[in-house]
Amino acid sequence: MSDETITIAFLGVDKRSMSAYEFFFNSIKQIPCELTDDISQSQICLIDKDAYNIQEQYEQFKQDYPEKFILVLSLDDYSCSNDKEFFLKKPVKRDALQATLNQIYDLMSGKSINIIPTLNKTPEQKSAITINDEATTINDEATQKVKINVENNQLKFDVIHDQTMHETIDEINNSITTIKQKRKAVTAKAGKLLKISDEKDFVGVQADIDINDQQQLKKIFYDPGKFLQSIIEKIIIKSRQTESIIQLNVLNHVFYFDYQEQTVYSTVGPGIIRPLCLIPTDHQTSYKIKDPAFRVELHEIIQSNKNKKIKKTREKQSWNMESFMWLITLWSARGRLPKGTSLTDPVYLMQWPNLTRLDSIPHAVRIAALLYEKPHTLPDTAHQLGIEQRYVFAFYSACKTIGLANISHRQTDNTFAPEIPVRHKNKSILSKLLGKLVRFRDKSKMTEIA
Amino acid sequence: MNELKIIFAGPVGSGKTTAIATLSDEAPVCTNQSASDMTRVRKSETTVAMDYGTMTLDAQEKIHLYGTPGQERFNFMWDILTSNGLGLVLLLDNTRRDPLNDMTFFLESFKDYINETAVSIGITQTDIVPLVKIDHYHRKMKELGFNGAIFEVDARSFDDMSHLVQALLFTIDPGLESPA
Repeated sequence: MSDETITIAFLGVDKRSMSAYEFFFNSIKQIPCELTDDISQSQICLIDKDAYNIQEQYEQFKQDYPEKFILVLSLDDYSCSNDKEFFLKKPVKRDALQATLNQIYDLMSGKSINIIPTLNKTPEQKSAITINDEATTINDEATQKVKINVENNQLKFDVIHDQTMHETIDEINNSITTIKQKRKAVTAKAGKLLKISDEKDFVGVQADIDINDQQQLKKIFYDPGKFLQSIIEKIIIKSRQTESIIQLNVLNHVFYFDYQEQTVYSTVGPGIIRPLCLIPTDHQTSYKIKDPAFRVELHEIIQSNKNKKIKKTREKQSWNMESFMWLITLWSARGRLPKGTSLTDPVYLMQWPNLTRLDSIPHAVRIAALLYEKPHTLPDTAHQLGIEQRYVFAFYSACKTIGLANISHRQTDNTFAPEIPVRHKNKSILSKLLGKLVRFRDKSKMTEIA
Repeated sequence: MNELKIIFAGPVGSGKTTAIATLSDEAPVCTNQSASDMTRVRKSETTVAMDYGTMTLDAQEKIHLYGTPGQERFNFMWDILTSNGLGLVLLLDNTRRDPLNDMTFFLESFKDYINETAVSIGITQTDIVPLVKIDHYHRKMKELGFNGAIFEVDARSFDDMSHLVQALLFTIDPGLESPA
């Protein structure tokens, strides 16, 4: 052990908490810390004052080792009894803990040192910056520049290498010139994650259009009122209003809607329902309000269907109501928008759709993140994300049906020009992580719950 | 070596251990095991520690996955763990007595960290007790002044956990693209 090392023991601190502190102490390179189980060997004792039955041990410790420094942690306020005692109120902030350790270190060693967090700093960065109480000295060597920002009343230092700066500029330029090709490649790759037939069914094949061309505009709208989608929407409202199960007959097929339990059951599977969504309904539907006692019977039917599905891998026939409406809309819209949707007004997303329980559309997470952050027009959303319009249109149509998205009529949303999405400083590593998540998306990895 | 952390928080039994196991490239280990390399004097080896896993991106880059201890009494250490974190994945157990209160507690506890980074929330066990709906979580989140994705998840499902982390990444940077 060197003379500058601080030896720390714990009293009343849970073992899991100790690990967190150990992790933290290891990150403070300016003050080497050693942890010990032997209180008699420690210089500082970190005491959790909230631990069960700690008071007696604490008093005993003070009596046995009056020369040792004590760092008391507690949820309650505490008055230190002497200059060897320090107190931090929980939740402990790392800056406060560092400052207190620094103070103790000063008292112990008689030296003056300030602690800079060294997590993930390169050796060059560490040696480049020295901070004293009175002055800040920056070792600005020929190869380095230091950018100083003031954020939240704190100075933040970023060491920038000239070489790195040039590389960064080159990288940005390259990114700009190649971004369209790259986006197309990414889009194509994401599209492959769905079966081709599924993708066509969900988002269609419509190419991007020029929104100023009236002829092209006709291609991207559909009228939900002419299709099964609007009938189902009305039936769901009816089920909510009557608090009953509604039976809907479409051609020779039967659907049951139970708003109270948020369940839809049909006598046929997706193979039949999807084409039904594309046929103009005319007057080929009828409905009936079921007796409340039917709910028990319906439960039995659904359970029986689930069992059959397991045994014979039959098609799915029961859905959560929201998932069903999402699916019906995707099949109906096929990458188009409900008639009358504005392409020039911004659209907003009230909340993220429950994407883990809804059928996947390529780029849904990206679209949701952008629209949830702030309203954008639909064409601008596609443009900003570098994806085809049909993905955005499909996403918007489905979100609108389940009540999560709509056109924004706030004047302020029209006032501001669309902004380029903010790029994170660790964009490269985030992209790699994203790539890893997407690549292994189909990985069926089920582990036991610990 | 560029290394970033994702913090997994939530009450006891919300699925943090499982989520990290699901995403991690290797079997999760305890932080005390990795920290032991750096500590000069070891305390006893019986320490039970935080859940820890890694996602290796390439030879130079790695994402660390840290699970905070779930008990409220450990909240004082959370600030210490979040240094250099990328964002927070909050898991909430829908079968707990008051999961909305849990959400409030954790969002408020990690408020500063979330404001600096981002949060995405996974609700587990919704198939067992569906009394609290996802809309209730969204409403509560808005009331508390936070923004982020909320999904129903099964912590054992890679697809679910992938969606949750993707949502976190796109919340941080909606313009992010996966490498071609």
